Amino acid sequence: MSESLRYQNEHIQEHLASHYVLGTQSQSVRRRTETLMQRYPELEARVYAWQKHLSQLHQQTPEIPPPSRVWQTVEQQLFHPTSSSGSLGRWWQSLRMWQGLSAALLVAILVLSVPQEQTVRTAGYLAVMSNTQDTAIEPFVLTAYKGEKAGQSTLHLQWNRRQQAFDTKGLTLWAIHQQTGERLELGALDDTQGGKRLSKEEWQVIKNSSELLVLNGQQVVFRGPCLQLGQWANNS
Amino acid sequence: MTDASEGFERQIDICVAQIKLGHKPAFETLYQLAGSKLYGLLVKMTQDRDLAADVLQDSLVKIWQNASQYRSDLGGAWPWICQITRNTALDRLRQRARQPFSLEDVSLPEEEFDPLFHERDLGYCLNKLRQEPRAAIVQTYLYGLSHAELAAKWKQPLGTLKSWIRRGLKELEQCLKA
Repeated sequence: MSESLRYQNEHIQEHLASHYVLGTQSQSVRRRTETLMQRYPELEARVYAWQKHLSQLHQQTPEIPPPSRVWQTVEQQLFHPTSSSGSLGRWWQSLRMWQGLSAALLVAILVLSVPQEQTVRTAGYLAVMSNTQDTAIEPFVLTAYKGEKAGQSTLHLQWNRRQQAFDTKGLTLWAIHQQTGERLELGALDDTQGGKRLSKEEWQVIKNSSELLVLNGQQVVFRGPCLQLGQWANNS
Repeated sequence: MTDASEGFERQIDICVAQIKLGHKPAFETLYQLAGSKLYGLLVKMTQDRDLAADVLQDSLVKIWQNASQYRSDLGGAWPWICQITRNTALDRLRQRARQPFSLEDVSLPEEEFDPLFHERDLGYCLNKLRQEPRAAIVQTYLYGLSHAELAAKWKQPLGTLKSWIRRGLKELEQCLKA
């Protein structure tokens, strides 16, 4: 059996996923499983399912406050790297900055060089997002357009022209599932400025949602019912 | 799942969504919410408070750095965090070549596993298993034991132990999917 077929086998995937989560694999097998998870999405989904089941075993584990050095060290390591971590670290950071700028430039060139779609498309879903605390703040609109193929759908933020656009950095977009009421994350609101490409799963989240929410931290700041729109009537 | 644990997991989901955006205050909130739970599970796994603190540090760094890999469409953030934390602990435990007999309270229990779980599914399905596979799965998970470590601790042949776990997981899978 080829490797590809072998790891598409449901039983093999289930075996790998359950032993990965239980922790009985050797270090090298665990690394291998993590690589396979990137290649086989069904395997990754099975790992998440086992994680969900077995993590319930921790519900009875007593909580113990960690020593204060834990957070101090983490904060120091991540947010205040000392000069002793040194010139190599700064060199790496500057290299990453240039990599980032180069990538951004490349994206800009690609976006500008791709012919823009000329046809008018009807929005599939629309939500008028109203501020939950201050009704004087004008609402804005989120519109989702279905793509020709899965993964080509897009979500756009459109400002009310009477309103000054505000800074959307740090705000996150969520959807409420219309059947379960579950709150599902759709990423940064900022990404929708200029159009965010939706994965197949994200499109499904919008499709099945009753309402969209915008959160600042844990606080809901905007919300609006998600409306499914029909096609334009042909009056010509 | 109780309202409390559901509320906790929802808060963790929100924190991780923010952490994916590089929101430092959300990372601090995550630590305040989950630090004691994670340290508790690590102390249980490692039986060593200093090592548990080191592992917790490493795990938190990984959570911050790998948050973009978390798939909210596939499952909650808390199980994902537990997995990162356990994997980090397992790496350290395997490197240290822990002495299996240092785990005094890891014994083959004779009584029925008492499921105090709020999520009925897992407790129910664990109780459907025979005592040995059930105890092997629970203790392997909670203490991060390898097959060989548990076999030595319980004075059972390695093949028997592997078979208990393999069959137990299979039966658990079938029950959870039923």
